Amino acid sequence: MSITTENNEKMITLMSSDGEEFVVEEAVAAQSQTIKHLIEDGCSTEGSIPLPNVTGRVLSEVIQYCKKHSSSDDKEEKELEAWDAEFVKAADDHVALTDLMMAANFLDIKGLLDLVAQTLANMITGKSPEEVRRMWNIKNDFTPEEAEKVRKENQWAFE
Amino acid sequence: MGDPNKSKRNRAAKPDGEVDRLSNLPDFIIHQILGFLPDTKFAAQTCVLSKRWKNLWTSVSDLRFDTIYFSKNLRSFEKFMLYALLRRDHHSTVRTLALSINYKEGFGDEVSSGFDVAGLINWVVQYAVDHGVRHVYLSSRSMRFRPSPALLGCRALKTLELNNADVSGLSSACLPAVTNLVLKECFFDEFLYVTESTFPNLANLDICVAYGIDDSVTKLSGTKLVYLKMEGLCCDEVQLAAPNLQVFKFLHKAENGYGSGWIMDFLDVDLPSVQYAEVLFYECVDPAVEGNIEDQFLRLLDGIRNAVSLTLRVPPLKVC
Repeated sequence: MSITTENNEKMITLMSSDGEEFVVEEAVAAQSQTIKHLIEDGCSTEGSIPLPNVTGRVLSEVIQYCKKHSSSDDKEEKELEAWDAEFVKAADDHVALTDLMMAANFLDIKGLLDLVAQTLANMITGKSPEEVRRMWNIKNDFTPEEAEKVRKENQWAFE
Repeated sequence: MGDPNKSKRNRAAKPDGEVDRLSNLPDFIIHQILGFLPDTKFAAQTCVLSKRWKNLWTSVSDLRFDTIYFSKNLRSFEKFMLYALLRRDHHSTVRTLALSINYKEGFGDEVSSGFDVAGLINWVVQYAVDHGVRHVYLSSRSMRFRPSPALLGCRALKTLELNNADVSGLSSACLPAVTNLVLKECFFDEFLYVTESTFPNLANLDICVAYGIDDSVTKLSGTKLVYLKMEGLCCDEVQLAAPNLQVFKFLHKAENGYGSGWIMDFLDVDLPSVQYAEVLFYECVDPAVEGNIEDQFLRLLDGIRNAVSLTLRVPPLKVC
C-alpha cells in the first residue's frame, strides 16, 4: 500500500506484532536500516510491512524518534540532543527501555540503539551490586559459598 | 514529544515487577549496554550480580580505562588493566579502546620515579590492535606519549583521537581505514603530515592546538576530506589541498588561549569546494607581525574563494 502525499512524499504502512498499523513517510521509515532494505527489496509494494518483533506501543515510540531525526539536520545538533534526553526520560520505566533496545536492534537504528544503551548504562553506573539487583529484580542465585568465591576472585575489580 | 503524562502511565503500569528484564536481554545486547559504562571497571563489577552475569562482561567489545575512577595510584590502575585483559575472553574482538590517564595528585611522583606511562599505553594498545580495534581514543595528561608503530600501522582502525601526544610519526603512518582523526594539544617536530598517502580515506580532521618546532611544516591533504578544523595550530608553514572539502574552520587561537601570535605562512591553499567557512584571527599583540597576518588572511581567502557562507573575525587590516 504505497500512497503519496501532497508534497509527493511516498508513504509506507508498518504493521506491529499486535496488528496496529502506522502510516509514515518513507524517509522516516528508512531511518531503520532493516525497513530500508525491505523497501529496496520491494517488500513494501503489496500491503504493509509486518514487523513481527515489535508491539504497537514500542513502534509508536520508535516512529516518534525516527520522525524527529529525519526532519532535523546537523546544525540542530544541540536541540536534538535535548530532545533525545526528553525522549528517553519519557520512556524511562525499565520495561519500555529494554523493549525499545530490542526494537532498535531489530530495526537497526544505530542512533536509537546507542541512545538507549547509554541511558541503561547510566542507570547502572555508580550503583552497588545490591542496588542494581533491586532496581532490575535480578535474583542473586549464588550460594553464599559461591558468592564469596566470585567476590574473592574478582576483588581486583572492586579496589 | 506529545503527551507528558505518558511517562507516569508507564511507571504506574509496572505490575510485572518480578520479571528481570535486564538479565533476559540477549548477551550481545547486554554487551552493548556494558560497553557504554564509563569504565571497564564498572562492567567487571557486574560479575557478582548473579550466575547469568558472572562472565558476561568478559566479552564486552568496548574497553574504557580512565584514571579518574581509580583513587589510588598508577600502579593500581595498571594492575586493574592487567587483570581485566587477562580475564577477558580472548576470542572476543575489541571495537573501542578509550584510555585516559589524567594528572592526579601523587601520579606525578610515580612518573618522576620512573613509572613507564608510555609503556603502559603501548601495551594496552597492542592488545587492542591484536583484537581488531576500530576506534581508539588516547589521552595522557600526565605525560606526553608517542603513538606506537603498531597503532600507526593498524589497517582496521577507523577513528583515532590523540590527546597530548607527539604526532611526528603520523607522516609515516599507514592508516588506510581511518575516516576520523582528532589531535588535541599535540606536538610535532619538523613535520605534521596528514596526507592522501597515509590517510587515503580521511573524511574529518580536527586539530585543536598542535605545536611544531621552529621552521616546522604542516601539510594536510586528501581527496576524501570533507571537514577540516584547525584551531590554535603553531607552525611556520601550512599547505592545504583538499579538492572536496565542504567545511573549513580556522581559528588562529584556540578558545583556551593556546596558539596565539604564531605566524604561519600559508603557502598552498587549495580548497575549491568549501561551502561553509569560518576564519577567526584574534587581535595581534605584536605590531611587528601585522603585515604578515594580512598576507595569511588574503591567501586563505583566495583558497576558499567558492564558499557560500563565510564567517570572518579579523583584527583591523590594511588591505592594499
